[in-house]
Amino acid sequence: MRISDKIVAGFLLAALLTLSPSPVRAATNIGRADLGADPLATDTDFITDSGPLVINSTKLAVMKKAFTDDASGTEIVSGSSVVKGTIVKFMIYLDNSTNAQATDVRFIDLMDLTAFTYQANSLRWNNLVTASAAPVATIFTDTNAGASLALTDAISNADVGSVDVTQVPNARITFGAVTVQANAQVNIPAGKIVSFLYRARIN
Amino acid sequence: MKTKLRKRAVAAATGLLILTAVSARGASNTATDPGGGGVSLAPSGTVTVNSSALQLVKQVWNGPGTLCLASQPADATCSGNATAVTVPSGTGLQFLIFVRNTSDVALTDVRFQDLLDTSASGFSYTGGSIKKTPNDATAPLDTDTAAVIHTAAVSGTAQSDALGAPDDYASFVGSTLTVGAVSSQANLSLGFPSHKSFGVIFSVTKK
Repeated sequence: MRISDKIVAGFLLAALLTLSPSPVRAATNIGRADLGADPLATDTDFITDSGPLVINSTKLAVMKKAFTDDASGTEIVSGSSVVKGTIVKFMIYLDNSTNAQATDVRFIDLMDLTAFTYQANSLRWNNLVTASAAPVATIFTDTNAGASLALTDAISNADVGSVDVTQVPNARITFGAVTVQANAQVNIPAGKIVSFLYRARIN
Repeated sequence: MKTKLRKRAVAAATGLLILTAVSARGASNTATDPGGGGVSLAPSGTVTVNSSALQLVKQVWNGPGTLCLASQPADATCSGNATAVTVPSGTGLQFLIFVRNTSDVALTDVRFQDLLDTSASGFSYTGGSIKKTPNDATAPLDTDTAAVIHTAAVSGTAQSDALGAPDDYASFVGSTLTVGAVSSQANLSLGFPSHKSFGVIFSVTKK
């Protein structure tokens, strides 16, 4: 059995990068009003103030994981070694756990061409099916087949993803309306997970 | 049994409090003949003047303005009475502030003030985004839904951020929005007819 170089494991580690979510940040707002005088903070005037309107925000976090090239959803965990020439599936996903749609979300994934070879026409995505907080296995299943949609590699607004393998040293994969490689806009409904999947050979 | 009675008493007291807060307050006056004149006058009859506290409403809508996310006071038509919402950082939002004039007389010298939280956990104001509903006979009705008032504001007249001479009815300076002749940041004095609603809308980005 041939075992890959450590460098491959290193690239996998990079691929498995997870960004830590930020804590929820809250902001409270009160509208005040009065007749014939300035509104009073104590609200003893003639128009009842609105009461505090609380708006929290959460910084969403992108996750990226690697899987074996089949439908099993077997994850290749960070630090693993795999055989050169092996094809793996990369999945990038983002959980919009909030009450509001995330609008115009843009992703860039740079793939080192010396370490990986993108497998043409392997892009897929899903943004309507998978509910927030679903386990990784469910996200993979929903994206690998099922209700997910195939994307073309072409750079156009006909769909939400594209691949530019002419970029060096890193092929550039984008999702959404990224300025330098624009696709159709990506929106993530409230309480849903958006996920993308593609295949790459380890060189 | 005692517990049930206590619960009923609390419920009754709560109900009384709510009714007191929202009911009109009436005052009756009758002009009468004080006597001693050359003519005997019949009393005028009772003139009753009711007053009710007007309510300022503040709502947050999504960026495109297609969905009300939360409202204070709570509104069943706005995300099922939600008074709080969590959104992704960086999300564009609209704030709608309005008051319904449910009285029978026009309002004069109405003043709004809204302090926007511009801290690191707050909002970024979108410059030049203030608009207002009409404040004349074409204004939305006091019985209109928040959605109708929102539409009237979105399609209403743009207001400059600057105070001007003053130049219009609203301004945004620093982190403060004012509408009308608020002393510290005075715009044109605002009035609007009876049984109409008036509102302003502006855009922010949640940090």
